[in-house]
Order: sequence, then C-alpha cells, then structure tokens
Amino acid sequence: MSNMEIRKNKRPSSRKPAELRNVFFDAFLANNIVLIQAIGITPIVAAGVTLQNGVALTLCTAAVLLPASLFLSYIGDRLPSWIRAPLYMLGAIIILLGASILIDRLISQQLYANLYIFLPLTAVNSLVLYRAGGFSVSHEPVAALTEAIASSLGFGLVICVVSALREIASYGTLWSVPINSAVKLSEAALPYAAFLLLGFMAAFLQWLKTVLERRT
Amino acid sequence: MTYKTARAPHLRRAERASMMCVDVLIALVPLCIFSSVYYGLRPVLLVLTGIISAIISETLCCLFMRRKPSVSDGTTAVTGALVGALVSPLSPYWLPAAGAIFAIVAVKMPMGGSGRNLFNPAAAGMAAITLCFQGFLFTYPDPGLGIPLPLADNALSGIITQSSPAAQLAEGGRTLYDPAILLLGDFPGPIGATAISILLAIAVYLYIRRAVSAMIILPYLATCAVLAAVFPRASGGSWLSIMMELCSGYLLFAGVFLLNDPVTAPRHWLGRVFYGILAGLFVMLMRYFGRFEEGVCFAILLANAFSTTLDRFGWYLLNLKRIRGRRRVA
Repeated sequence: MSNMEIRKNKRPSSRKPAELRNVFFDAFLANNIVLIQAIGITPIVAAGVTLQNGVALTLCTAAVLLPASLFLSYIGDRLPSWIRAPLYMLGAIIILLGASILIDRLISQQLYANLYIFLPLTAVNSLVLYRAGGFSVSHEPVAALTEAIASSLGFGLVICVVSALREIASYGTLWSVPINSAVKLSEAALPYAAFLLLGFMAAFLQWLKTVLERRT
Repeated sequence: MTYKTARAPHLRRAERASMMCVDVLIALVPLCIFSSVYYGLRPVLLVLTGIISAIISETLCCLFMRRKPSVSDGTTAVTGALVGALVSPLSPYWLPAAGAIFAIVAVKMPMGGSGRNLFNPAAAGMAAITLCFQGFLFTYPDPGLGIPLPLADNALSGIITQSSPAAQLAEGGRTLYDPAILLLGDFPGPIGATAISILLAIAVYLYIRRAVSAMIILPYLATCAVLAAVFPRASGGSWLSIMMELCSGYLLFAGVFLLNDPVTAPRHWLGRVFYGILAGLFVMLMRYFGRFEEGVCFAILLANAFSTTLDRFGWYLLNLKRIRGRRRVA
C-alpha cells in the first residue's frame, strides 16, 4: 500500500452535507470551545469589554484559525508532531502582525490601542493551538475548514454576547452608541463579571443540551 | 434494609444542621442590640432586609429550578443575616439586599443549594458589594453622635461620618484608637463587627455549641497577630498594631462566622489548622496590598478554594507512616 492510500484510509470521508452539518453544530454549540471545553477564556475575560473589541477579537481568531486549520489538514500529518506547534505559532504571529498593521493604518488607531496587548495573546492562544492541532490533522480539508469556521463562530458568539452585555452594563453604550439603561455599573468591566457571565452561559448551554436530548 | 437519607451538610452530631443555624442567628442578636444602642433601629432593619431578601431569592430560585423550597433549613437566613451584619449602619437598604441576592442567586443556588456550595455565600455577597459599592460600604457614622440614625434612606445625607480603624490602618501613621476603646467597640465600623468583647463571648458560646472550631479560629488569629507584629502598619508598637489589626474591619467577625461555615471548611483537624493559617495569611496580604480598606471577604473566598486540598493534605500527613508502609508492602 502506498503512503497516499494509508492517509486516505485513516481519514473518515466527511464530504456529505449531513456529516459536515454535524461537524459544524458540534463545534459551534454542542462542544462550544469556550463554554464546554473552557479553552480560550483569556481574551474574553480581559478584552471582551466592548462589542467592538469582541468583534475584532473574533475576526483575529478566525484569521488565524482558518489558515492554520487548512494548512495542517493538508500537510499536518506529514510533519512530525513536535514541529507542528512552533510552526503554527510562527504562522499565527505573521498573520496577526499583518492584521495589527491593517487595523492600525486602515480601520482605527483607537481600536488598535485597545487591542494591541491581546493580539499577541491570540497568536499563542491555547484555543487556536488546540483546535488546529487536534481536529484538522486527522480530517479532510473541507471538514477541517467547516470545523474551524464553526469554532470561530462559537467563540465569536460567546465573546460578542459577553462583551455586549458588559458594554451596556459598564458604559451604557452598545457599539459606542449611547443606550438609555437604568442601571450603570462600571465594575462590570472587571474580570469577575466576565467569569460570572461565562459560568451562567455554560450552565444555560448544558441545560439546553439536556432538554434537547430528552426530546430526541 | 432501609437506609436513612438526609440532606447535606452531613454532620456526625445527633442534632440537625438547622440547629447550628439557629445558634448562629442567636449569636447575631446581641451584636444587633449593641449596634442599635449606638445607632437606633436602623442596623436591625438592615440585617432584617438581608435575611428577607435572601429568603425571597432562595424561594424564587427553588421555584425556578422546580425544587421543594429549602428555606426551612436556616442556612439562607444565616447568609442574609451575615451580609446584613457586615454593611455600614449608614448604608441604604438595597445594599444588604443586593449582597444577599448575589450570594444566593449567583453563588449558592447554581452550585446546588445548601451543603453543596464551594464558596461561602455570605463572603461572596460581601465581595460583590465591596467591588461594586465601596463608597456606601465603607462610610461609617460617628458612634459618638448619641442620636439614632434616621430610618429613611433619603435623610442620611447630613450624618457626621468618621474614618474607621481599618481606613486609618490603610492610610498608615498614627491612630486615634487605644486598646480599651477597641475592646469596648466604641469605634466606627460595620454593624456586627465592632463589638469586639461581645464577639469574643459569642466565639466561646459557639465553641461550646460546637458551631465554632478552635482548630480554625486560633491558628487564624495567631497568623494575623504574628504578621501584624512583624509588619506593623500603625505606629506605636507591635502590641497596638496587633490590637488594631485584629479589631479593625471585620477580621474577628469573619473568623467566628464565615470561616467556621461547616460546608466550606475542611473536616479534618489538621486540615482545619492549615485552613486557618492560610486564611490569616490571605487576610493580611489583602490588607497590605489590597485595593480596599477591608478585603477579608476576598481572603475567605481564596481560602475556600483551597479547603478540600488542605483537608486531603492534612489527612495524608497524619497517615504518612501507614501510606508508606502499604507502599513498601506492595
């Protein structure tokens, strides 16, 4: 048997739409990286204070996760496992350097000033490392890409909900637009508020899962 | 064969857990009376607000979780009363209510209710209101006023306030208080935490009723005292420093009521000693380096997190010989 055939046998064929849908929903909700697997909490707790930050961090994560997953899915299993992590990290740093220059020059200097400490953190985020290293090496590019998109969306959903709630509570604004909220609590920007929100969201997701399982 | 089943916390005594809660509530009564001698009826109403809001929020949580309401075991009332007893007599009525509601809704019930909480709910409630409303929490009325505080919230603006010993320690330098005044409790501070001599008597009462463990509170106070003597924040000698540190804020109150919570404290005696020492260490670190003039609640929460580990570690040390012997045989 040639090397190519071994690789094909190892990989589950997952081109069917139904299976791709399963992969997507598994990574997006049922095994949400933040709420179920508790990976990648750092940027949410530290920087998820305004909705703009949340969206920017989601884009950064997706910008790193998608190429990394594709890359590792194509040639990951030809590389020895010890070199995957450093190689991936190098790629992530290059991508994020580009992203930070883009944000700084083209989008908003203020946003860059808010994010500049967290962009490098995203590069070495355990979330991306774990995702790119685990799933995509043993799967076909299409499945790996679906999984990466779903993971980024799952991360994005959580960080956007958390950061929007924290922005409303602490600054009384949403996407920098003032909102008439009755209670203003500037302490919601502190890390403990994010941990509390994440805890309740994780509990809610578990409850949702049990309800759905009972129904089927 | 039938097994007797009982709800947590599982205590080895014949009495039920609710008896311990009744003891703690009884112990809180003299503290409220002491405070109301100075400030009128307002402190009592604040404590009652804490109790009532804790009971209401627990009932609502039980209804939401479709469970039989578990208010009757008394732990809820104790949580609410402890939060109420730790706010300033000048604080508005919603403050103890907010603390009690946070304690029940965010800390106690999500973990599974009475007997299952990892962290002391009252300490967590205090931590939340310390973080969010420190302006209300640390503004204390002058105890020498001699007139009862007004009962309505909007009449409080003209009251003369005074800085507490904890605030003076946080600023450093000379203090206004001597040990006799501190023991008598004639200084500004939280409702239930200024009556030092009454608190000591309560500690003895609860020790006799076995609601307080000497293995926790003695190492705790000893650690605080040693640190206060070695690294004094107040000028005037190490004895004054020890007295000031032990009597200011709610260090002693926390040692009597919050640390001895049967749910979150370790079960084993050596684990309890370690727990007390660790809590004392955290309390003093919070005071030296913390953001707030009183950070005991944060220290208690941190110590709670280590409770199980310390319990196991203590058991391991005591059974070291047996464990090693078994390994050698194997």
